[in-house]
Amino acid sequence: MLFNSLEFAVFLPIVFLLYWFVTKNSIKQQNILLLIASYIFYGWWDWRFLGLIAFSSFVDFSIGKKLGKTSNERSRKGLLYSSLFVNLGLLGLFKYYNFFAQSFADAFTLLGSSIHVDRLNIVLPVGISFYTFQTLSYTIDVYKKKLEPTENSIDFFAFVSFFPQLVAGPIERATHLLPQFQKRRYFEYVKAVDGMRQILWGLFKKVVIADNCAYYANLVFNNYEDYNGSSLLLGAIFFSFQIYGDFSGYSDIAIGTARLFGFDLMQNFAFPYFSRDIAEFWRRWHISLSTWFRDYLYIPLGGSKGGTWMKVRNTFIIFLVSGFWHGANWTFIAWGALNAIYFLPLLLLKQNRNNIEIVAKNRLLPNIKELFQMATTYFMVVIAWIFFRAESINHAIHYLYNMVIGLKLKKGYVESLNFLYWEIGIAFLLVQTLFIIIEWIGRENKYALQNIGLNRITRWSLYISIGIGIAVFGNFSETEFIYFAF
Amino acid sequence: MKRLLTLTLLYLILLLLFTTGILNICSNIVSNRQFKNYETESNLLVMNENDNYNSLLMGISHARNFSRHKNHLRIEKILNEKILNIGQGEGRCGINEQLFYLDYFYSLGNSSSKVIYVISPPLFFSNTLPIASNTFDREPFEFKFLFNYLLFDSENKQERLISYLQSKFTNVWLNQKPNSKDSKNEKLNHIDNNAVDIGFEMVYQDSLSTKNRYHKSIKRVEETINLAINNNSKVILIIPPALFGKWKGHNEIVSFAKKMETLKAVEFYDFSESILSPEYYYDHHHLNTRGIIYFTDKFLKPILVDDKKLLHSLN
Repeated sequence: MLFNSLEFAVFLPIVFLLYWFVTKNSIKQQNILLLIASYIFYGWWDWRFLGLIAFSSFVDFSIGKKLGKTSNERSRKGLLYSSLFVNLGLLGLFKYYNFFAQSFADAFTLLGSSIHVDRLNIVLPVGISFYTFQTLSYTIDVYKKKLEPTENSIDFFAFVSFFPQLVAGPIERATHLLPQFQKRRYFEYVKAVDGMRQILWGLFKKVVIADNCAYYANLVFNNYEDYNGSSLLLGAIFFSFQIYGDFSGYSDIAIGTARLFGFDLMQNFAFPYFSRDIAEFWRRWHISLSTWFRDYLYIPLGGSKGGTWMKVRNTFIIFLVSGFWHGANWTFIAWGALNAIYFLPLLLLKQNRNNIEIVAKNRLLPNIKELFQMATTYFMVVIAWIFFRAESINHAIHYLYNMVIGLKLKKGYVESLNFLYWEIGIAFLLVQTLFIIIEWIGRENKYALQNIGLNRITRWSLYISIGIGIAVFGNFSETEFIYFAF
Repeated sequence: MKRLLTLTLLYLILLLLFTTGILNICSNIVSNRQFKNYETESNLLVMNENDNYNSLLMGISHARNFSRHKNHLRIEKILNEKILNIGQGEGRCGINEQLFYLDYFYSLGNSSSKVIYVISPPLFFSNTLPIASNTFDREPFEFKFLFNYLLFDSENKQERLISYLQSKFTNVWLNQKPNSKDSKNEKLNHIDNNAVDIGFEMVYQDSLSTKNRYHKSIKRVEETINLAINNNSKVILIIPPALFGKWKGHNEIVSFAKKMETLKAVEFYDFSESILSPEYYYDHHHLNTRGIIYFTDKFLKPILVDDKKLLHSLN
């Protein structure tokens, strides 16, 4: 079930009303309801893969319980490796098998011989990377004794499959989310209203910003040979808005929905395009994944504590793995590598923690230096997105080449302006500009509309304008969220 | 909790009111420009209430072509009839929505002595026409139309309705003005068999082999015929002329139409091979203005004035 579908618009109020009216007096009943609702939500897409989530949940629940009962370090390690083997094995089979098989065959072709490898004709289960990481965090934290294993299977199964964040995150830690399933939840008006507001903003980002930008980005990326340099740059910029609107929009809807049920999920995006350097960008983009890799991969590898070589190695590992997590394609690995190259100079010069606070805090506008830093960082990110969006490395390189060469042609800019005017239209450009302004104004909050501090009439006018914006410009063709594929 | 539910409801009501208000304003800007049937491809812009027509034309582009380029005025003059054309071209409309348009026409208290259904074979086999989402993009916003369509059984309804409503905010809609070329005089010199094959490939894809679409289509056409008959219209089914003569699937359509002729007391005429000279066409299956005049005069007029003998002698 998609957040931007009619089914979800019916599903959510039903679950909400049952949750607060029928099951409000019992945590157990509430958790059973959430578990059933989550399985319906996921099964709506393909019920056959429910078995996979149930299996994954069962394995980690059982391993967690055994970890709690044994103090023998060897047995504990064995249990941890079993969990890693099962979870990463399933992920590898469904997501990466064909990639490795094909790359293996390609390597032989390069060496002058050929081998035949069988490809598996399997569908990638939606959200497998997300719930696999979530359930793994439980086993690892129990192993590290940061978390007591739960004895309640309903709580655990509901934690793994919690529908707001099941298929595209935020990837929650067991230490943060699981305890919320174990304590009584009370309806809080302020929290629920905040959730509704965040859902509204997330929906706007998805159906207005992301889906409209997707149309133009696809147009340019799929026919890049027909476009001049500046239009190719525009295509990449539109993609940057598409992926931001799509993914942060999903996260907003997920966090807002969870708040309606009394849960707090972690912030996943913190206005990443206002970052002043790439390190800040990575602290603000897909926070739940970045911190997951930091806690469960980067730090165990030694983090940035060792010598230069170790720092370089660990940085590359984390960025390459992060790229590979996004998809079984060399383009994602190239995207990760490029980001590592961007990041390394900052790390080596110990400049990677220069910009911790949001830009221009307590000020209306940034200064010239900040503006320049933001523009440079954004441009670097846009270049990296070209690899992320391209179908192949070849596609990305040609796209970049045509873009750079084409930027020299003056008449191309006129064509691009025509493209903006005729294809995209002034109305959408105005909406896009308004979106950036609202994001800028709200950048000190967890999402742009939080604590907007306007009087009631102005606030309601804004909500209604956003609603009208969704009705007028929204793409309701139930386009999937990009991150469903990851 | 009560407060949250009340405010949510209030928000939705206000949103609905404001959106509908803007929708009406955008819609009325265009509706007030007074269109004639040959000046627009919209049906609602020209469909009034309690009007009586001699003939109503329906179908896809082959039907709409009788009104484009001021052909409408020409055929009305030749036939000496008041005609309404609700045919929809450009791949926007299939059998289902043609049925809906006809139903809506009657629901407004209108009547027509005859319903001429131009049953082009692609109409029955195309898998894309029934799911076209832009079917109603040219129609003004009307509550009754929207409400009736919500209750109508059709494919891809949600997307079509969203497209219908959102299209009212576009420049294309707002800039729509009464407009028609005087005539369409381009003509072909010969048949390009390669282009015909490519065209067939585009239209039919694999629908000829699977037949699912065809069976759905004939059911809906039968419903259309029943609707017209129940509203006292005489139904005339015609297969339009094409430069290449018979479309793929021709025989199935003929057999279906003949069955209807027997069961429902409708008239059926197969004009597929009635005009085989390229100078009457601007492409392989659309008549140019000269072709429309010729076809109306030689073939439509005799059947509409009920002089079948004349028609048979011409054939």
